[in-house]
Amino acid sequence: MEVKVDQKDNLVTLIVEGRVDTTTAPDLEKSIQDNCKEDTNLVLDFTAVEYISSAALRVLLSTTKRLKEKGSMVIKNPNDVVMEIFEVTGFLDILTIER
Amino acid sequence: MAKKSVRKMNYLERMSHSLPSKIFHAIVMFSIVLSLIAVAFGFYLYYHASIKDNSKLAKNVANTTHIVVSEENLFRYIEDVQWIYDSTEENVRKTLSDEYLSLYKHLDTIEFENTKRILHDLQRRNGVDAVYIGIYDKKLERLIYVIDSENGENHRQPGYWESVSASESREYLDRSLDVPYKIENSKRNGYTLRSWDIVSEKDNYLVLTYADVSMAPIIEQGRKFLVQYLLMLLLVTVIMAVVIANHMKKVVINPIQKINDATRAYIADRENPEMALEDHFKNLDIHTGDEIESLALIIADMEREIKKYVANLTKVTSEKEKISTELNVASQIQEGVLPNVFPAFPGRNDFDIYATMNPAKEVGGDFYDYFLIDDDHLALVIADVSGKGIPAALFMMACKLMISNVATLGIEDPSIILNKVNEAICKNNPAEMFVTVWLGIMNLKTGLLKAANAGHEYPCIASKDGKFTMVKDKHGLVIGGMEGLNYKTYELQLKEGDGLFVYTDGVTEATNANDELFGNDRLLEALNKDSKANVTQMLDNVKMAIDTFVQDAPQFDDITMLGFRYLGSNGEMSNMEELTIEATIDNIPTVTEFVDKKLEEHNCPLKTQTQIDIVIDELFSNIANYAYDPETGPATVRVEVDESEPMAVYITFIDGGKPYDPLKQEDPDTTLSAEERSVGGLGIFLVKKTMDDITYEYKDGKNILRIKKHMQG
Repeated sequence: MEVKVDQKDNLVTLIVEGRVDTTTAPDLEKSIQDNCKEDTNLVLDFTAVEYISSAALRVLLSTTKRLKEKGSMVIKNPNDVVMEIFEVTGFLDILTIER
Repeated sequence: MAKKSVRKMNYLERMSHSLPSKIFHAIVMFSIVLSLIAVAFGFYLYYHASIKDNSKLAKNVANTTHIVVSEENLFRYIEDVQWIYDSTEENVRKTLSDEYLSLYKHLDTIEFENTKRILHDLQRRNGVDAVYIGIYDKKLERLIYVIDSENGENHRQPGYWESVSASESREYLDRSLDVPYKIENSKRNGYTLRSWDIVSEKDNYLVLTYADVSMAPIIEQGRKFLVQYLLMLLLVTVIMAVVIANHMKKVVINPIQKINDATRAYIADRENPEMALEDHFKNLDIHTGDEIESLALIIADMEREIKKYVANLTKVTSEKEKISTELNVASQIQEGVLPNVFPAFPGRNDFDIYATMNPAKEVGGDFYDYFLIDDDHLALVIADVSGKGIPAALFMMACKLMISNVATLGIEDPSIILNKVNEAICKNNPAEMFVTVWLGIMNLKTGLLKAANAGHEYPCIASKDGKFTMVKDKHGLVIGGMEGLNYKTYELQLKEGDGLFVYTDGVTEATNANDELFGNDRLLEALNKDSKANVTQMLDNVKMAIDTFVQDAPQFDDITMLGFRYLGSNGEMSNMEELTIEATIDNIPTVTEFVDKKLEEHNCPLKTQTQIDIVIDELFSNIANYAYDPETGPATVRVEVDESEPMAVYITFIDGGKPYDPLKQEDPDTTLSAEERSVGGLGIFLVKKTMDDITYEYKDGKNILRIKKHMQG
């Protein structure tokens, strides 16, 4: 997994590539923590994400909770596999997704 | 049979001719008795009339005697005799010798002879046997003759005496007697009637005149009269008997004979159905105007009624036969719908199945069923419909078809199948019938049995040690009982060689002559007699145990049984590959790579591969994080591809860590908001959602988790 960061004032875009699984999820979590404050408007570009596991869901859930008050989190262009995972786990109702 | 009825006929024949002779005999007997009474009475009357006449005659003669004899002479004779008698010594008198009698010799004068002749004349004229005059000696009770009319040897000389009892002498003095007489057997004249009249009485002496009448002619005449009387009576009797018997024959016996003959003809024709329609009693021609004619009319009525009844019975019987035939056909149809060709799946060597049903009535309400939903899933059904007969059979057909239809739609969860069947049946169940069902769906690859129970008997499973035990599974309500029920699925892991036995209550409730039930204990005992037996033998053992227990008692309920034995999946798949590696997070990519390589070899669709990669990540990370915590240990990943259609991959994760069944973890509530959501349990939930099957087993100190995923695009 690789993460590219694009920061403009309060708007932080993280371009994620590859697999977000047990091994790589901690890296994504670290990268989010490094680049985001409580009022950050975070965009996670998932266009190049192959798949995610429950470890990634855990990261997404905790980030959503953290940014909910003052900032926001948007997931952009997840593929079918990732969408299906969001669907079966009920995350579609929790996350803001743009396709 | 024929011999017996011939003998019976002969007997009847004999009986039918005994009535005339009986009547004849009765009349003759009656007449004889009557005649004897008449004869006895007639003789009695005759005898008394004769005695009366003769005694009167004798008395008259006795009275006349002293009138016809000159009184002077008479008293002289009497005085002479009395004087001589008194003046003779008693010891001389006693002898009655000629010497004694000669003492009276001088009485025999011409005058005496004349007097005797007069008396003889009197005797002869009046037709009596003797007339005489005598003196009665009261002291010595003797009658001493004075003069006697008789000549010849019966003549009594004067002075001759004979004893007369005191009782007779008392009658001499009894003046009240109108006609005094005595009947005695005298030496002189034999059986004789004697009458007397007293002439005078002086001191110890009575002077009497006597007249004797012999009884012999009276008796002789009586005898003649009796013979004639008897003969005449007998003649009249016989004529009467013949006439009465003839009359009886005409009035009673002939009509009875007619009824008799008609009855016999009726019986003969009843045995020959072609003749059965003839009337036997209608034209009997009996016009006696009495009870017999009435009897004949009643029998004719009865015959008509019987004929009507028989015709009706014939009709009803034929209808009943028709229904019975239809029932048989129904029974055959029902038997036909139960799969009964064994071996049921000759091409399969991963399981064995056998089932039987012994209906109690011609059409029962039990059924069993088994069918493959797909290559890996076998449905097993056993059910018992409430009630019996045609209604139960119709309901059973509906239930059986519905269960198999829903199951073959591809639903592999028994509770869902039962839910749907229950809904369908409840919607339209006017007869309010219901059915108990045990439904199992066996995963033949993994040995996992999913089952649900709608009020049916507990299944028996041969557990690890090889003995059958009852699985006290959770019962739902019967199907058809209530709308909107949710049945519960439970799981049982079968291992190679494990057996399953399901049955209906006809097995456990088989009853013997003492009203005892066969029961669960006897069932388990029968199953465990040879718990490793093949399925046919398994069912035979149970049936034999039931038969031995029940013996001759009748079977009340259908006895239905289904036996199943899991022989294991078709061995290890030839393409199995295995990787044993230390269970760490860092090793997840190695495992993923190992599995992906295998999937790519089989052209697995990319999406499926991605899903499998996620599953590997979830499951292997679980082992790495928790199994040996805080240490680490080895884990084995086995991958095999079932190349039969539809192609599927099986991945098995084996670790020697703490026993942990991830399937027991509760599913997360996916409807909660972000704040309420926790992250626990998401991983295994994802696995369950994306894989086609997942099983867990803890065996030999190892956690064995196996997933299955179809490899279709």
